[in-house]
Amino acid sequence: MNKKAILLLFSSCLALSGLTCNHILWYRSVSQSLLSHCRKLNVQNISALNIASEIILKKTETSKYFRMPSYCIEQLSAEGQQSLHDLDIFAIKNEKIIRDVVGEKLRIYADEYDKQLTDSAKLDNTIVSLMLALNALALLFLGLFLSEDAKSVSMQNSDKQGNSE
Amino acid sequence: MRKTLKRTTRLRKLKKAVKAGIFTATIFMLTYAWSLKKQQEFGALLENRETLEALQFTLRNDMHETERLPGSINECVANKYINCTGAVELLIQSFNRMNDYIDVTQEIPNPESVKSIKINANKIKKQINTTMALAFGLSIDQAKQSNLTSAKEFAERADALRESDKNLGLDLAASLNKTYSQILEMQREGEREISILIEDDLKIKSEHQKLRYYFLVATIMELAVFVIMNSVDIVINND
Repeated sequence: MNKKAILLLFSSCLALSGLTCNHILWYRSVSQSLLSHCRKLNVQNISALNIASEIILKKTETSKYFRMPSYCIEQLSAEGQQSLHDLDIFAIKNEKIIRDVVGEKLRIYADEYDKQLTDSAKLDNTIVSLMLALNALALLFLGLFLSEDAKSVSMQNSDKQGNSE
Repeated sequence: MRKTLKRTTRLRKLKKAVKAGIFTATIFMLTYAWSLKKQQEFGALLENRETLEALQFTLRNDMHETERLPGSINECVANKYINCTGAVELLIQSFNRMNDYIDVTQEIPNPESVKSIKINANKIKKQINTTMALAFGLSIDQAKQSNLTSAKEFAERADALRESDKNLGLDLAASLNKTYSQILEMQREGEREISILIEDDLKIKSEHQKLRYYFLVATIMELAVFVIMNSVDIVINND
């Protein structure tokens, strides 16, 4: 393989890696939109809890009123899910403190979604930096390839001139 | 002769590279546009769910507020409308809530799903206006036109109207109770309807899975096209 082809191969590989990073970010954005949605639903539930009257907070209705969709519960870590389960058991035994229990559950959801979104944002930052570096390197190798190409073209031209003389 | 042959070969290689480039760019643009469209559809689905959840809670909370109405109606069955301030206040609130429901149903990305809530809210608005006009001689729309902002002002104006028309509000309690039942029924029905709409978590879950799968396919396709295009370029430049 000649030098020109090697430079182009490097440039292509780096651009390909950059493109892969781009697609990873894109792929991750789908999960992030779901996390943001769950967080928004939880914020709505927190607002609802703040204005909910005691009638609404009757034991039999709370699970229905502040229900989080199953796909949002699945987004929680195992630890978070365990805490929610513990609180459910605790709430059965202590009906009088239902508002506090619901509040605590909503706090767990909020903390979990915040943590996951923050972690996700940090990772995204790293991927973006990597993508920029890969793109810059790909351009650098492309530049080197073009300069090699220009050299070979000028050499061919001078050969042609020499032959004609 | 050799020079011309070399130039022709070089031109042919360039043409191949350009064609490969155009093909790649087209595939890239198509997959990006398609994926963006899918992402937007998913976003709309999530937004729909959020608005429905908010509307459901509003309806539930409003139902409890509406349940206070019979107590105010009982206080109202007296000779003077000024005793009806509580009932008037709750009816004005219900009227305004109907406007809120209509606004929310218009904000929803898929308004067809809550069409009946909008229709029922409009019916209730008309019903409240008719009841108010029959019972107090003044509908809410007329009160708004006359700049009567508070329930007290409304009751005072109704008392003044009663002086001139003694037949006003003969079946006051019955008509107010009927309206109360209709408001409550509308809110219950709306809440039930939304519960059914949001009960199915599986739709969002499966759409999410599908979207991830689509993105994966799009990514693989784009990367494959990119590799093929660059291989063509590398082979051409290696000759």
